[in-house]
Amino acid sequence: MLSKHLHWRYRFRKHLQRGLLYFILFAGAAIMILPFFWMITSSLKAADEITLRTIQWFPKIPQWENYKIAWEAAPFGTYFQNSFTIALAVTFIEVVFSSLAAYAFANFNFFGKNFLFILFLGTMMIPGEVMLIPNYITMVNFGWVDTYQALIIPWTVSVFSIFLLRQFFMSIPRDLFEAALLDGCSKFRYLLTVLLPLSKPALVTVMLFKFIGSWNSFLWVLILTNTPKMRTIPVGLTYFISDVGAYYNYLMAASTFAMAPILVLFLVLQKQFIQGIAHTGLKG
Amino acid sequence: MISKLSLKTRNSLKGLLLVSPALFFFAVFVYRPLIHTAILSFHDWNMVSPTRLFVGWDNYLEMLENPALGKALQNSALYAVWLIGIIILLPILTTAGMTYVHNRVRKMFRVTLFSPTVVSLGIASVMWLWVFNPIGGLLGTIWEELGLAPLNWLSSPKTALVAIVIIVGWKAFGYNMLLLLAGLGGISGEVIDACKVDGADGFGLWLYVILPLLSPTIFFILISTLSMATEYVFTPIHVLTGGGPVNASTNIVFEIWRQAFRWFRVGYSSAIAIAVFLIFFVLMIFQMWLSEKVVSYDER
Repeated sequence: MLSKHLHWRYRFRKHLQRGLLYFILFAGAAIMILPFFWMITSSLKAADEITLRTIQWFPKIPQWENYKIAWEAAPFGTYFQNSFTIALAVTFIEVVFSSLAAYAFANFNFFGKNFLFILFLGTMMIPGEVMLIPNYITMVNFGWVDTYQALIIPWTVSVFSIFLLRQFFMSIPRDLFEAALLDGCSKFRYLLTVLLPLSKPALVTVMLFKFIGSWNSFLWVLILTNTPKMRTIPVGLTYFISDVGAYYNYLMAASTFAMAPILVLFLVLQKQFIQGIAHTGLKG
Repeated sequence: MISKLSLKTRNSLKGLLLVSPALFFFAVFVYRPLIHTAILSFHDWNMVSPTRLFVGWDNYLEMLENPALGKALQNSALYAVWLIGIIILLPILTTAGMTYVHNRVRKMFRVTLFSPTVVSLGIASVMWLWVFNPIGGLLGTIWEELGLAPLNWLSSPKTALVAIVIIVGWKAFGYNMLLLLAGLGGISGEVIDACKVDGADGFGLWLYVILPLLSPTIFFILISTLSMATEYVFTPIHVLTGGGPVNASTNIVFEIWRQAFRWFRVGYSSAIAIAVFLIFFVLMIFQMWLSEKVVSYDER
């Protein structure tokens, strides 16, 4: 009788703990999602609903035309086009340069290899802002202010991707390299037809991170653009704040469509994202 | 001509050729600017004038006296402390909690908590601008429904910094949590099982076994958090508070930008940049020294 009672109490405590844990986790997740939710419902509210002083979770009648009005109020089409062009170009060029360098570090012996590798890794130690002014001056001297080049070229190499690709290349058996060379495969063809196809997971990680990083970059775009025709979507959206004044429903409609492409990309490729981060985490 | 060289030399040349684009890039956009910044920090220049005036250590001396910079440094430390709490301690607790949750639910949480990470800070700042808005904004309205005095988060010196912390914390939380979960997945189940057999319970197991084994990940996160406390916060500061009110939310990177691109004090801004570089350099060396001493690298 007593043991049964104890058993029941033990089970009750376990359930209570688990229930509490689920409650805390769900509450936490809800808090993380709430800003998104508030943005989307606000984007569909009418102008008089936006300033209500009591909580109104949903609009009475969804105002879909808010999206149309917001879209037409600023050159968002241009902003999107710029963001896509820049992010794609940066990602593509970076993959080419990083694969070449990573291939050299993984499969070749050359003069000054270790020194160069440390020199490259050292760039990770320098906060980007330290180079901000000279790089800006360089762009001015090149006459590149307000051009695609300025927003693309300075971001096309990063140690992070060289390092990640090198790690991956090194995990592919060296025998394969020797055998391919013996069979008369040129070194460049080996990279193109063997190494890169085998390194797909690492390449996907590098490309995803670069694409998102470029899409989200702010400070550089801010100082290197001075007309709307070159602005990207995050910078363009912040300029929209002063345009809309108190019409936060339009601002939230714009925020929603500004955010949508990256969130959709993430939801579609969530597996690659999560594995990619696991890759980077293994090296501390 | 090339075919006359030995195989070794040819390979060496090929290797150098392959790294040369990256090397050229780093030379132009990283190494050279670093030296350039150091040179500029000893000058007085407004970015447009054809001549710049050599002023010696004046810019560095001004740093010691300028109250705005002191505030910026102090705030940078404050940002770091807040963010360590929100995006290191909280993710550790969440990760611990998530190990007791059903696998399916865990996957759902992982995606949900990670989703803010991919959002641009510029766009996130605009979204949060509306959350923090005193009239009609989410927090403002909840505040009033609770019967509290209206609070303008972004324009009150007491809360502006906290508001920025909330935005950056909201964004970076999921990234660190994923790194911790990945680190946790790397710990062998045998070790955990052995400890359980020896009688380690939940709390003790975490404190004495799992956390020490996770320490490489935690160190990695710590360093990235410090750089977030200086770099990530720039965007919300620029979009939402402009460093104010009365420098309450400014930080060191915002000061670099403001001095150079708003007030055109290039020399002074460069001096701050060099100081940031030196601070990071010392922190990195310290981190390397510490991780050699403390961090346990388990054999995986």
